[in-house]
Amino acid sequence: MLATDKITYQISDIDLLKNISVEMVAGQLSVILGPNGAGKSTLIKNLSGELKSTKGEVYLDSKNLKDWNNSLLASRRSVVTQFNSVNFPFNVSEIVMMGLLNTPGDSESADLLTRVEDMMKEMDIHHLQQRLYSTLSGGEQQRVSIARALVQVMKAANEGQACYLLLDEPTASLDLKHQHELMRLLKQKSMQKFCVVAILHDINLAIQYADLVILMKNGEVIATGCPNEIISSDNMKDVFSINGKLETLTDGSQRFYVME
Amino acid sequence: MVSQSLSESLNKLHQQRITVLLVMSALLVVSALMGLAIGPLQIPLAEVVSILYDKLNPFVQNQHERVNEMVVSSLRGPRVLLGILTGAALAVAGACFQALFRNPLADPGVIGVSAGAATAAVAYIVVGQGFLISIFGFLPKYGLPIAAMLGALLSVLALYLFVNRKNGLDVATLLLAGIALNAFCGSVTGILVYLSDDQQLRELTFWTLGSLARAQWESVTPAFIWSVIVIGILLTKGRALNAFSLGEANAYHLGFNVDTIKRILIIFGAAAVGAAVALTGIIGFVGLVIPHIVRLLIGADNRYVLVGSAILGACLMLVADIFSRMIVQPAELPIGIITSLIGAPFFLYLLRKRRQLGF
Amino acid sequence: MIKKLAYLSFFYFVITQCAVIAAERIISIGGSITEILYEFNLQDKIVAVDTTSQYPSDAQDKPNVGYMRTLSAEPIIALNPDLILYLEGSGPAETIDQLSQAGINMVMIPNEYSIEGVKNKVGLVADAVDMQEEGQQLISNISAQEKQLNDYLSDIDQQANVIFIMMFDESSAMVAGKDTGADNMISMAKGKNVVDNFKSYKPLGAESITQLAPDYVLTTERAVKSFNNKAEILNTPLLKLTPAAENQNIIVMDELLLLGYSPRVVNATNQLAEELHSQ
Repeated sequence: MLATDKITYQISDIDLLKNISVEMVAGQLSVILGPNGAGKSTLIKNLSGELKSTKGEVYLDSKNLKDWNNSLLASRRSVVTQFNSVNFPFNVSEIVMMGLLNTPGDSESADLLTRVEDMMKEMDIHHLQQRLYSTLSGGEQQRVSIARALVQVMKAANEGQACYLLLDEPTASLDLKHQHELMRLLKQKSMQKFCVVAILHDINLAIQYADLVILMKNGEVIATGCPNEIISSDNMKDVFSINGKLETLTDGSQRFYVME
Repeated sequence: MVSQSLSESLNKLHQQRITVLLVMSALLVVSALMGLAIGPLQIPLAEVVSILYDKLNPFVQNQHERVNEMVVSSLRGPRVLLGILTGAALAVAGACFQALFRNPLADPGVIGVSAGAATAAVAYIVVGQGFLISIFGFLPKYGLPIAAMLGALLSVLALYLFVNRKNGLDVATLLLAGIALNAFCGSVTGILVYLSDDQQLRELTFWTLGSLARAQWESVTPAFIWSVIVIGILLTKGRALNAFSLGEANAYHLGFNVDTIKRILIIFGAAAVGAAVALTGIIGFVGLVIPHIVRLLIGADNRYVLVGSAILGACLMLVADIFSRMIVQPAELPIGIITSLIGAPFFLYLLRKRRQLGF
Repeated sequence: MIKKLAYLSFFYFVITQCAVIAAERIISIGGSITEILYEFNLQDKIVAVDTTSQYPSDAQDKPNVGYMRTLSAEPIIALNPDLILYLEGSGPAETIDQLSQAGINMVMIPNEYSIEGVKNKVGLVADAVDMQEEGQQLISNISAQEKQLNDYLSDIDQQANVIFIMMFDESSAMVAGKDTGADNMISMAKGKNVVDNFKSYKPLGAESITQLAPDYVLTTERAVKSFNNKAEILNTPLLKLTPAAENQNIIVMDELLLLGYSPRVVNATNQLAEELHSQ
């Protein structure tokens, strides 16, 4: 469980987050939606511990985030940030292996390496492993960063512990195929006791994959709940100032949002 | 193409790296021997080796020609050791600053850390000594290297506070800040030169152009012990530096105690540069050229880059020193001139190629 | 007993003589020392000099060990000298230590900015190379010249205001304060150094120099190498507003002659005095 209790985050007296209480649980894929400047990234940073809330507390596994030991936390919670440039000639497998930098014991054991390799195949970057990270396209870099984040918590996940995966716009530079592949992977992870929290801009991806939607505007949470309730044309108009409507496929299998 | 398994390719890479490091170590032994054997005074290699053997073995006392023995043991000996320690210290500090600032061009000389150390040393000579004598009545031992290290520390802190705004930091910003810091240190030194008397002025000329010529066991031995400790601590930070290469936020997410590691890098990096500058003056570009060559040879993994930089930095310094002794003999060229001669064009090359090199 | 003493004194004699006679390979650090050695006709025994040894011009062809303040031990040892004569202030101290440790006979010659100081130098160099007679001869030559100089100067009572400029850059000039060779040379030639509020050399800007209002600008050939003529020097913003510029009073002398405090010291003083008091 990852939860915030009335957190407020200020920079020079401006509230970037106002009194936010949300709860995300393992087994669910939670998606944060909202326009630019809504405070989505700031919320993720407060959840990861990178930023310390001005007021209120963040709890991970019912334990205050402040009381977590750094490397223990890292073995359970990994983060994919928005910008991941690297100025040194690391190759792809090295970047992925950095997920294991803090793993105690033999981080290069054959068993672990096989699983890292599977992960790279799953992220469709296995063929890139000898390439220099800095020479990859933005989407490829994104997939490498996600693989690194998954590798980081692989050991704990394998031991059956609940793991937390926070992603800031993970689909931003991916092509359509990789967007859906990633979302399917995240969904699948969430079903394996992961608590996945991702910021998305694509409403339809949220409808299709999210278990929980957190709708934000101006540093406040406007609504939380399952996508069917939250993603309504009224809410979308309110939050994004767009006019659109929800349609359903003729076979009734899927809903989607279209702009008018 | 048959694709290798990850563990196979990692193993192969590991072996490659170990091989390169071993070759570098052999190169270091050869350059140290060359440093002991080559000089304006011609001494046969066999005699150098025999003198060395006798010095290390208290039970043998062969007769050597006094001047030869003196040149090898009290002139070239400390000089070679000083070359090793400054080369290793500057190269390792360079690699650390590069990861800390996420900037492959961060050389202690280029970004003004060496200048900060030298300025502090000059300040110590011109005003500090008199001040300390008036307070304590005597001069504390190692006052000069301590001043140099504090100067280096202040410079890194200033750069860090100025430059560290968010992760997406532009490579050029640090270089521009370095220009400003170098200029500032230059003017402070200028003021100090104005305040100095004739005797002090003579000492000051030494700081502007680096040289190993003043090496003596008395000062080199404690500096060597100190550098071994400082460099040793920095060498254990390879994993952390790898994490820092992804940015501070990612290093934190990976579970590193970012603030502690930053402190260690800043303090011990400054201590390495300060100790080197205190004994040799400003020697530029070693911290830029060496880590870069090492990365070309064995990749960017800092666990290996740091060790490789220490070894190759020592090699470069020893070879450059041999040139500095031989080119204009019987006079001597300051070694800083030689390293800049190699380093400055290399710096421009990196600056021009940086898009292709990926930074 | 007497026999023993006789042996001892004989040995003592041999040893001391050896030490002096052995000086066959001399390194001279300091222009004035080199000049004295040339006066003694010892040029063939000089194996190397430093960069300040510019006179006589033959000395410039000798191997050069670099600037006197940044000497390095090994190349000097490699020249296998048996005597190093070095001017006070040569260094760094570490190098001097190392050279003595190598068993080379090191003789430091004090550099005092006066005619007496030059005589003293000559005496010390003569002792070190065992040419006392030639030394005495040179000292009495200098004394004779000194007497003539004093006769000439005794007729002069007014003091000329002089500024000595060691070198120029775009915005300032490095000028001599008190306790410098130039300051003493100016006094010896019955001039007055207008700079009397600091010691050693410091850079001064145009306004300070104008305020000091020197009647004469004294400088070295090296400092004005980049200028075409004297008028051009005086026309720089640094000097333009001084009385010296108004009257075109600029004296350019050889640096080593003026500041070297060599056997030519009286010569130098004379030359400067004539320039200062010709009107």
